[in-house]
Amino acid sequence: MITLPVIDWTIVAQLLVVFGGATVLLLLDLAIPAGRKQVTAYLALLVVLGAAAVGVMHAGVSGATFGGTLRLDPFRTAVGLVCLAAAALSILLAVTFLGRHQIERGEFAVLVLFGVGGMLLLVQAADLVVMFLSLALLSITLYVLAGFALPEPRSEEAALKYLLTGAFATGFLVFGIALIYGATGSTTLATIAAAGPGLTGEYRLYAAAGLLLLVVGLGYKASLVPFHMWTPDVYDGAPTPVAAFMSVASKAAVLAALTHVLLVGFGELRALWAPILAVVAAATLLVGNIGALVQQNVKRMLAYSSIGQAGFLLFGPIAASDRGIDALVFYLAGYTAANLAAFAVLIALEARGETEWSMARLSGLWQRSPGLTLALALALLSLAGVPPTAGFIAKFAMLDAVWQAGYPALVVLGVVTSAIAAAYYLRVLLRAAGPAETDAPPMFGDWPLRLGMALAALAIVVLGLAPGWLLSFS
Amino acid sequence: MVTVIFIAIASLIIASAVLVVISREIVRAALWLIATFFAVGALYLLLEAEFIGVAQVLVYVGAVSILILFAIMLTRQHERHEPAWRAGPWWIALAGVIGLAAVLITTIGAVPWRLTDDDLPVSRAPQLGTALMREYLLPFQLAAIVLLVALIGAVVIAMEERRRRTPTLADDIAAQRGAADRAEDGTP
Repeated sequence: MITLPVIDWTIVAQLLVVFGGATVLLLLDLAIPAGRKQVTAYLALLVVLGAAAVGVMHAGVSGATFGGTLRLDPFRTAVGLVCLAAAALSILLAVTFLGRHQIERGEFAVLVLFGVGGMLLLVQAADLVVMFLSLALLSITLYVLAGFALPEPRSEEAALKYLLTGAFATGFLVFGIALIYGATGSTTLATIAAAGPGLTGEYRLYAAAGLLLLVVGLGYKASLVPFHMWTPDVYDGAPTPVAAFMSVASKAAVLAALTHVLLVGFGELRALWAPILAVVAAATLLVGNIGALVQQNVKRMLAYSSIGQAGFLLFGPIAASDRGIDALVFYLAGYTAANLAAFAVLIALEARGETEWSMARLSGLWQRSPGLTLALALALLSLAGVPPTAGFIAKFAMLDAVWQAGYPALVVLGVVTSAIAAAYYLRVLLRAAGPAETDAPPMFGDWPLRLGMALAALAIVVLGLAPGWLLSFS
Repeated sequence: MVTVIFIAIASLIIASAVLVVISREIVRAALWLIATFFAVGALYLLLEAEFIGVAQVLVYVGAVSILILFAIMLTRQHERHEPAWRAGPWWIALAGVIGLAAVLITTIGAVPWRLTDDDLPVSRAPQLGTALMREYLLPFQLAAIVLLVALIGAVVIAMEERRRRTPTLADDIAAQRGAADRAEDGTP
């Protein structure tokens, strides 16, 4: 007779809602006729909202279960809520997009649910094996979602590139975990941290090498330079709502996991990893923002801009302080809202069969749709960090955190690259405000898309004007 | 006695591994690879790790090798020439192999392995099963979800391809390759 371990149900409740909902929905979807797959998407939305409600209810809960491999604390709850919000908005943006592009299938919503479940697990994991498996779960979901527009060669290319490079990066992760296990005899972050000071000689070296391999594996998913090469191709080829989901939610989850590994598991080795990460953050900021500057394709530009934003996100773990963690949560929330709003505008302008998302298609947008232009302007100004949007507060909080931590060079670089970023964001806005250059492309304004866009735009403004409530939450 | 068996298994592993590399026919290389996997399974049995031994046979001999053979079968018609990896001079490869072996051997020699005469606690199937239901209950469940999602993903992609047969990336590459082959045949 095997006695199962005692499980703290308040900690796993949110995961149960997501995974249970996804599994039930997978079966329910069989009963939904082919033309009405929107129903599945709305049911998935309900599941996500239910999970978010559980998260809000357990906002103050702290604790661990499954032998300390799964943990809940305010930071994890907050990042989890960001992931859930990103999933909900992405489903809203995708509902009619899929039908319009004739790729509507019930599995889409189910896969998004499994993906966001993997992200929640990655955020809550306090153990390297759980982290690895949840990362595998979210990766597999994203590989399939990237190829969801399958007969489209670009989508197929995106999925294949992502799969091959992703599998390669996963190898680094596993080698890293194996080395750390070999050195410390454990995969649980708390035990690794406890074993840290006692490590000597080779064992210290193995742990350090394992940590660096782990950073490579996670850095790939967060598209940190030099592991960012896949990002523009995959975002460009994947269906736009998938690119939107990927660019925000998986980044949030991976950054949270990276923060836990660095600060909880290897806080003792900070003298080793902090300078390395500072260099990676600097390279990410420069490559992302300079790369975005030369793009003519809007989706590729957003991909490079998301690389640049990842550099800023890395300031959170580098600062290694409560201030840095708060700033990370806020930055993730603001970035999620802004990036989703920007992608929502692209979705509203994308008809079936468009292959290249040329910037010329945004020209003259102001005359045709002031509403869309307003959403685009809010999104891009927030990404650039212009007050009074959420992006300004987020960037300010991050710069403040790394300044306090003693990295003045990073502060300077952050400001300089933000100025570069402002240049290409404004270039898009000027195009949108200027005269039309091509035949007016069709516009789509169904209510789920409008609702998603409006919520994202609202979040940008609210977070920008009243940032206090979110910061007090984490 | 154990040493004799070990030497027999080890020489089997090395011999078949060498044959994987030097076989000129790719199917034969695959079959020798299967033999290598099998012998490694025997090595696990010798270490009294029955479960890993059986899993090795089931997973590597049973599944991975079938996958390799399928991959060869499905891609074979494209390669009429000698495989490109045979093109380089053999001594470069040999130097690389010797270098790698030197690194591995010195590393293994330098590490102070924590050897113990006691039986290791988890090695048999019952202990593994109990561990999966206790310490590793969460990873165990998670692995089930990962496999389910992989299955859904495979079905989504495979069914989609069948349903709407428009040119895919693979078709484009095949078409390009065909054109390139024709161009190559045309030149003197």
